[in-house]
Amino acid sequence: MWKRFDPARPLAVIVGAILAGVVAGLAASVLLTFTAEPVIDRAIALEESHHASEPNAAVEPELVSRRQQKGLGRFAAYGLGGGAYGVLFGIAFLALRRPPGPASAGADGSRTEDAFGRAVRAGALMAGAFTVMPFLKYPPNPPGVGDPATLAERQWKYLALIFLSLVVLAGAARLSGRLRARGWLDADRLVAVGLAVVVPLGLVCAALPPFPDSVDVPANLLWRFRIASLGGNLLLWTVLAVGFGAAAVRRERALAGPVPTAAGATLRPATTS
Amino acid sequence: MSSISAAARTTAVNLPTWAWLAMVLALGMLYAVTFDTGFLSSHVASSSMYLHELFHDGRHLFGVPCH
Repeated sequence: MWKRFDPARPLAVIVGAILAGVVAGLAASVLLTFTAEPVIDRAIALEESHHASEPNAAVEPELVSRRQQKGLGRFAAYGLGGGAYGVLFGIAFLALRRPPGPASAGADGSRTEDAFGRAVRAGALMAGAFTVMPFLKYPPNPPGVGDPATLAERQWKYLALIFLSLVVLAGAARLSGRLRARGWLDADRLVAVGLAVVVPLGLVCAALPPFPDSVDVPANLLWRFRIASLGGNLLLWTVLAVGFGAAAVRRERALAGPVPTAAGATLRPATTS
Repeated sequence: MSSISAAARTTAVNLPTWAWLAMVLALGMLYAVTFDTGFLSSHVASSSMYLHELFHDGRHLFGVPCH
Protein backbone atom coordinates (compact mmCIF):
# COMPACT_ATOMS: atom_id res chain seq x y z
CA MET A 1 0.00 0.00 0.00
CA TRP A 2 2.88 2.34 0.89
CA LYS A 3 4.46 1.66 -2.52
CA ARG A 4 1.27 2.72 -4.29
CA PHE A 5 1.16 6.10 -2.54
CA ASP A 6 2.16 8.69 -5.15
CA PRO A 7 1.52 12.33 -4.16
CA ALA A 8 1.10 13.21 -7.84
CA ARG A 9 -1.95 10.95 -8.25
CA PRO A 10 -5.28 12.40 -7.09
CA LEU A 11 -6.76 9.06 -6.01
CA ALA A 12 -3.71 8.21 -3.90
CA VAL A 13 -3.79 11.70 -2.36
CA ILE A 14 -7.46 11.49 -1.35
CA VAL A 15 -7.17 7.95 0.05
CA GLY A 16 -3.98 8.86 1.94
CA ALA A 17 -5.56 12.05 3.27
CA ILE A 18 -8.62 10.14 4.52
CA LEU A 19 -6.35 7.71 6.40
CA ALA A 20 -4.30 10.59 7.83
CA GLY A 21 -7.53 12.39 8.80
CA VAL A 22 -8.96 9.39 10.66
CA VAL A 23 -5.68 8.88 12.56
CA ALA A 24 -5.50 12.62 13.32
CA GLY A 25 -9.10 12.66 14.56
CA LEU A 26 -8.50 9.70 16.87
CA ALA A 27 -5.30 11.32 18.19
CA ALA A 28 -7.20 14.54 18.91
CA SER A 29 -9.90 12.51 20.63
CA VAL A 30 -7.32 10.92 22.93
CA LEU A 31 -6.15 14.40 23.95
CA LEU A 32 -9.73 15.57 24.49
CA THR A 33 -10.40 12.64 26.83
CA PHE A 34 -8.06 14.35 29.30
CA THR A 35 -8.54 18.04 28.47
CA ALA A 36 -12.22 18.40 27.58
CA GLU A 37 -14.24 15.64 29.19
CA PRO A 38 -13.78 16.76 32.82
CA VAL A 39 -15.00 20.22 31.72
CA ILE A 40 -18.00 18.78 29.85
CA ASP A 41 -18.92 16.68 32.89
CA ARG A 42 -18.93 19.82 35.04
CA ALA A 43 -21.00 21.74 32.45
CA ILE A 44 -23.61 18.95 32.35
CA ALA A 45 -23.73 18.73 36.17
CA LEU A 46 -24.32 22.50 36.25
CA GLU A 47 -27.06 22.24 33.61
CA GLU A 48 -28.78 19.45 35.55
CA SER A 49 -28.65 21.39 38.81
CA HIS A 50 -30.37 24.30 37.01
CA HIS A 51 -33.02 21.93 35.68
CA ALA A 52 -33.54 20.42 39.13
CA SER A 53 -34.32 23.85 40.58
CA GLU A 54 -37.15 24.36 38.08
CA PRO A 55 -40.27 22.63 39.49
CA ASN A 56 -41.94 21.79 36.16
CA ALA A 57 -38.81 21.06 34.13
CA ALA A 58 -39.22 18.19 31.70
CA VAL A 59 -36.69 15.42 32.20
CA GLU A 60 -34.87 14.64 28.97
CA PRO A 61 -34.77 10.90 28.28
CA GLU A 62 -31.19 9.61 28.05
CA LEU A 63 -30.81 7.92 24.66
CA VAL A 64 -27.07 7.50 24.91
CA SER A 65 -25.30 7.12 28.23
CA ARG A 66 -22.62 9.63 29.22
CA ARG A 67 -20.08 6.81 29.16
CA GLN A 68 -20.93 6.09 25.51
CA GLN A 69 -21.00 9.78 24.59
CA LYS A 70 -17.52 10.47 25.94
CA GLY A 71 -16.06 7.16 24.75
CA LEU A 72 -17.37 5.54 21.60
CA GLY A 73 -19.43 8.58 20.58
CA ARG A 74 -16.65 11.13 20.65
CA PHE A 75 -14.09 8.79 19.09
CA ALA A 76 -16.59 7.99 16.31
CA ALA A 77 -17.36 11.67 15.80
CA TYR A 78 -13.67 12.62 15.62
CA GLY A 79 -12.72 9.59 13.49
CA LEU A 80 -15.49 10.20 10.95
CA GLY A 81 -15.09 13.99 11.09
CA GLY A 82 -11.32 13.61 10.67
CA GLY A 83 -11.84 11.40 7.61
CA ALA A 84 -14.21 13.96 6.08
CA TYR A 85 -11.73 16.76 6.87
CA GLY A 86 -9.11 14.55 5.18
CA VAL A 87 -11.06 14.53 1.90
CA LEU A 88 -11.33 18.34 1.94
CA PHE A 89 -7.65 18.63 2.89
CA GLY A 90 -6.70 16.29 0.03
CA ILE A 91 -8.63 18.42 -2.45
CA ALA A 92 -6.90 21.56 -1.13
CA PHE A 93 -3.54 19.76 -1.43
CA LEU A 94 -4.29 18.92 -5.08
CA ALA A 95 -5.60 22.40 -5.85
CA LEU A 96 -2.49 24.09 -4.41
CA ARG A 97 -0.24 22.26 -6.88
CA ARG A 98 2.07 24.65 -8.70
CA PRO A 99 2.64 24.22 -12.42
CA PRO A 100 5.96 22.62 -13.38
CA GLY A 101 8.57 24.87 -14.90
CA PRO A 102 10.16 28.22 -14.08
CA ALA A 103 7.16 29.48 -12.10
CA SER A 104 7.69 26.86 -9.41
CA ALA A 105 11.37 27.70 -8.99
CA GLY A 106 12.52 30.12 -6.32
CA ALA A 107 14.53 33.31 -6.91
CA ASP A 108 17.80 31.35 -6.79
CA GLY A 109 16.55 28.87 -9.38
CA SER A 110 16.03 26.02 -6.94
CA ARG A 111 12.73 24.21 -6.73
CA THR A 112 11.31 25.52 -3.47
CA GLU A 113 8.12 23.54 -3.44
CA ASP A 114 7.81 20.04 -2.14
CA ALA A 115 4.89 17.97 -0.98
CA PHE A 116 5.54 18.78 2.67
CA GLY A 117 5.27 22.53 2.23
CA ARG A 118 2.16 22.10 0.12
CA ALA A 119 0.56 19.85 2.78
CA VAL A 120 1.32 22.41 5.50
CA ARG A 121 -0.22 25.21 3.40
CA ALA A 122 -3.30 23.09 2.67
CA GLY A 123 -3.62 22.25 6.37
CA ALA A 124 -3.24 25.89 7.41
CA LEU A 125 -5.91 26.92 4.91
CA MET A 126 -8.37 24.29 6.12
CA ALA A 127 -7.64 24.90 9.82
CA GLY A 128 -8.14 28.62 9.26
CA ALA A 129 -11.55 28.17 7.64
CA PHE A 130 -12.89 25.31 9.77
CA THR A 131 -11.35 25.96 13.20
CA VAL A 132 -9.63 29.32 13.70
CA MET A 133 -12.19 31.65 12.09
CA PRO A 134 -15.19 30.00 13.81
CA PHE A 135 -13.24 30.13 17.08
CA LEU A 136 -12.68 33.89 16.71
CA LYS A 137 -16.20 34.83 15.61
CA TYR A 138 -18.47 32.12 17.05
CA PRO A 139 -16.37 30.39 19.75
CA PRO A 140 -17.47 26.90 20.83
CA ASN A 141 -19.73 26.49 23.86
CA PRO A 142 -20.06 23.55 26.25
CA PRO A 143 -23.31 21.54 26.48
CA GLY A 144 -26.03 23.44 28.28
CA VAL A 145 -25.45 26.66 26.35
CA GLY A 146 -27.67 27.58 23.42
CA ASP A 147 -31.38 27.95 22.80
CA PRO A 148 -32.84 25.22 20.53
CA ALA A 149 -35.16 27.85 19.04
CA THR A 150 -32.20 29.75 17.55
CA LEU A 151 -30.28 26.67 16.37
CA ALA A 152 -31.09 27.02 12.65
CA GLU A 153 -30.13 30.69 12.69
CA ARG A 154 -26.81 29.93 14.41
CA GLN A 155 -26.09 27.07 12.01
CA TRP A 156 -26.57 29.30 8.97
CA LYS A 157 -24.31 32.01 10.36
CA TYR A 158 -21.69 29.40 11.23
CA LEU A 159 -21.81 27.89 7.72
CA ALA A 160 -21.70 31.33 6.10
CA LEU A 161 -18.55 32.16 8.09
CA ILE A 162 -16.79 28.94 7.03
CA PHE A 163 -17.83 29.39 3.40
CA LEU A 164 -16.68 33.04 3.25
CA SER A 165 -13.41 32.14 5.00
CA LEU A 166 -12.77 29.40 2.44
CA VAL A 167 -13.44 31.83 -0.42
CA VAL A 168 -11.05 34.42 1.03
CA LEU A 169 -8.28 31.90 1.77
CA ALA A 170 -8.59 30.19 -1.63
CA GLY A 171 -8.50 33.63 -3.30
CA ALA A 172 -5.34 34.52 -1.36
CA ALA A 173 -3.72 31.23 -2.42
CA ARG A 174 -4.55 31.97 -6.05
CA LEU A 175 -3.19 35.53 -5.71
CA SER A 176 0.02 34.09 -4.25
CA GLY A 177 0.43 31.83 -7.29
CA ARG A 178 -0.10 34.70 -9.72
CA LEU A 179 2.35 37.00 -7.94
CA ARG A 180 4.91 34.21 -7.87
CA ALA A 181 4.42 33.61 -11.60
CA ARG A 182 5.02 37.33 -12.20
CA GLY A 183 8.34 37.07 -10.37
CA TRP A 184 7.51 39.05 -7.23
CA LEU A 185 10.05 38.90 -4.41
CA ASP A 186 8.93 36.51 -1.67
CA ALA A 187 8.96 39.31 0.94
CA ASP A 188 6.66 41.54 -1.15
CA ARG A 189 4.45 38.60 -2.06
CA LEU A 190 4.00 37.53 1.58
CA VAL A 191 2.98 41.06 2.60
CA ALA A 192 0.45 41.26 -0.25
CA VAL A 193 -0.97 37.81 0.48
CA GLY A 194 -1.07 38.55 4.22
CA LEU A 195 -3.13 41.67 3.56
CA ALA A 196 -5.36 39.71 1.17
CA VAL A 197 -6.04 37.27 4.04
CA VAL A 198 -6.36 39.55 7.07
CA VAL A 199 -8.36 42.48 5.63
CA PRO A 200 -11.20 40.48 3.99
CA LEU A 201 -11.42 38.08 6.95
CA GLY A 202 -11.73 41.06 9.30
CA LEU A 203 -14.50 42.48 7.13
CA VAL A 204 -16.28 39.09 7.14
CA CYS A 205 -16.11 38.99 10.95
CA ALA A 206 -17.42 42.54 11.20
CA ALA A 207 -20.22 41.99 8.69
CA LEU A 208 -21.66 38.75 10.09
CA PRO A 209 -24.13 39.29 12.98
CA PRO A 210 -23.34 37.73 16.38
CA PHE A 211 -25.17 34.75 17.87
CA PRO A 212 -28.35 35.84 19.69
CA ASP A 213 -27.99 33.55 22.75
CA SER A 214 -26.66 34.60 26.12
CA VAL A 215 -23.96 32.36 27.58
CA ASP A 216 -24.84 31.69 31.22
CA VAL A 217 -22.01 29.49 32.45
CA PRO A 218 -19.05 30.55 34.62
CA ALA A 219 -16.32 32.20 32.53
CA ASN A 220 -13.70 29.84 33.90
CA LEU A 221 -15.63 26.75 32.79
CA LEU A 222 -16.50 28.34 29.45
CA TRP A 223 -12.92 29.19 28.56
CA ARG A 224 -11.49 25.89 29.74
CA PHE A 225 -13.91 24.24 27.33
CA ARG A 226 -13.05 26.63 24.48
CA ILE A 227 -9.29 26.23 24.90
CA ALA A 228 -9.64 22.42 25.13
CA SER A 229 -11.74 22.45 21.95
CA LEU A 230 -9.25 24.66 20.10
CA GLY A 231 -6.35 22.49 21.24
CA GLY A 232 -8.02 19.29 20.06
CA ASN A 233 -8.97 20.72 16.67
CA LEU A 234 -5.56 22.30 16.05
CA LEU A 235 -3.96 18.96 16.98
CA LEU A 236 -6.23 17.27 14.44
CA TRP A 237 -5.16 19.61 11.62
CA THR A 238 -1.49 19.45 12.63
CA VAL A 239 -1.34 15.65 12.73
CA LEU A 240 -3.28 15.48 9.45
CA ALA A 241 -1.12 18.00 7.55
CA VAL A 242 2.27 17.09 9.02
CA GLY A 243 1.62 13.34 8.92
CA PHE A 244 0.37 13.42 5.35
CA GLY A 245 3.11 15.84 4.30
CA ALA A 246 5.90 13.78 5.86
CA ALA A 247 4.66 10.64 4.09
CA ALA A 248 4.11 12.48 0.78
CA VAL A 249 7.55 14.09 0.67
CA ARG A 250 9.21 10.72 1.33
CA ARG A 251 7.28 9.06 -1.48
CA GLU A 252 7.87 12.03 -3.80
CA ARG A 253 11.63 11.73 -3.31
CA ALA A 254 11.62 7.96 -3.59
CA LEU A 255 9.69 8.15 -6.86
CA ALA A 256 11.89 10.94 -8.26
CA GLY A 257 15.05 8.98 -7.48
CA PRO A 258 18.38 10.47 -6.41
CA VAL A 259 19.36 13.69 -8.19
CA PRO A 260 22.97 13.52 -9.47
CA THR A 261 25.13 16.62 -9.07
CA ALA A 262 28.20 17.74 -10.97
CA ALA A 263 30.43 16.37 -8.23
CA GLY A 264 28.86 12.96 -8.60
CA ALA A 265 27.35 13.07 -5.12
CA THR A 266 23.60 12.82 -4.69
CA LEU A 267 21.67 15.90 -3.74
CA ARG A 268 18.34 15.75 -2.05
CA PRO A 269 15.72 18.25 -3.15
CA ALA A 270 15.53 21.34 -0.97
CA THR A 271 13.26 20.97 2.03
CA THR A 272 12.57 24.66 2.55
CA SER A 273 9.21 25.93 1.46
CA MET B 1 5.01 31.42 -24.28
CA SER B 2 5.79 28.77 -21.71
CA SER B 3 5.48 31.29 -18.86
CA ILE B 4 2.05 32.34 -20.12
CA SER B 5 0.76 28.80 -20.18
CA ALA B 6 2.31 28.15 -16.76
CA ALA B 7 0.56 31.21 -15.36
CA ALA B 8 -2.71 30.08 -16.90
CA ARG B 9 -2.36 26.69 -15.25
CA THR B 10 -1.99 28.21 -11.78
CA THR B 11 -5.53 29.57 -12.13
CA ALA B 12 -7.15 26.26 -13.09
CA VAL B 13 -7.96 23.65 -10.49
CA ASN B 14 -7.46 20.34 -12.25
CA LEU B 15 -9.50 17.81 -10.37
CA PRO B 16 -10.99 14.57 -11.66
CA THR B 17 -14.79 14.38 -11.56
CA TRP B 18 -14.86 11.76 -8.82
CA ALA B 19 -12.97 14.14 -6.51
CA TRP B 20 -15.99 16.44 -6.51
CA LEU B 21 -18.16 13.43 -5.68
CA ALA B 22 -15.80 12.58 -2.81
CA MET B 23 -16.13 16.17 -1.60
CA VAL B 24 -19.93 15.89 -1.58
CA LEU B 25 -19.69 12.62 0.39
CA ALA B 26 -17.30 14.26 2.88
CA LEU B 27 -19.67 17.18 3.37
CA GLY B 28 -22.52 14.70 3.89
CA MET B 29 -20.42 12.96 6.55
CA LEU B 30 -19.70 16.28 8.25
CA TYR B 31 -23.44 17.04 8.16
CA ALA B 32 -24.22 13.72 9.85
CA VAL B 33 -21.62 14.26 12.56
CA THR B 34 -22.04 17.97 13.24
CA PHE B 35 -25.39 19.27 11.97
CA ASP B 36 -27.97 16.49 12.03
CA THR B 37 -30.71 16.97 14.60
CA GLY B 38 -32.78 13.94 13.76
CA PHE B 39 -33.32 13.85 9.99
CA LEU B 40 -30.65 11.25 9.20
CA SER B 41 -30.79 9.14 12.31
CA SER B 42 -34.55 8.70 12.00
CA HIS B 43 -33.68 6.48 9.03
CA VAL B 44 -30.86 4.45 10.59
CA ALA B 45 -31.71 4.18 14.28
CA SER B 46 -34.74 3.52 16.39
CA SER B 47 -34.76 7.01 17.84
CA SER B 48 -34.46 10.08 15.65
CA MET B 49 -32.00 11.73 18.01
CA TYR B 50 -29.73 8.71 18.50
CA LEU B 51 -26.88 9.90 16.25
CA HIS B 52 -27.26 13.46 17.50
CA GLU B 53 -26.83 12.29 21.08
CA LEU B 54 -24.04 9.83 20.24
CA PHE B 55 -21.96 12.54 18.53
CA HIS B 56 -22.95 15.18 21.10
CA ASP B 57 -19.56 15.68 22.78
CA GLY B 58 -17.79 15.65 19.42
CA ARG B 59 -20.18 18.21 17.97
CA HIS B 60 -19.65 20.64 20.84
CA LEU B 61 -15.87 20.14 20.66
CA PHE B 62 -15.74 20.67 16.90
CA GLY B 63 -17.31 24.02 17.81
CA VAL B 64 -20.52 23.60 15.81
CA PRO B 65 -23.64 25.34 17.16
CA CYS B 66 -25.88 23.02 19.17
CA HIS B 67 -28.90 23.39 21.37
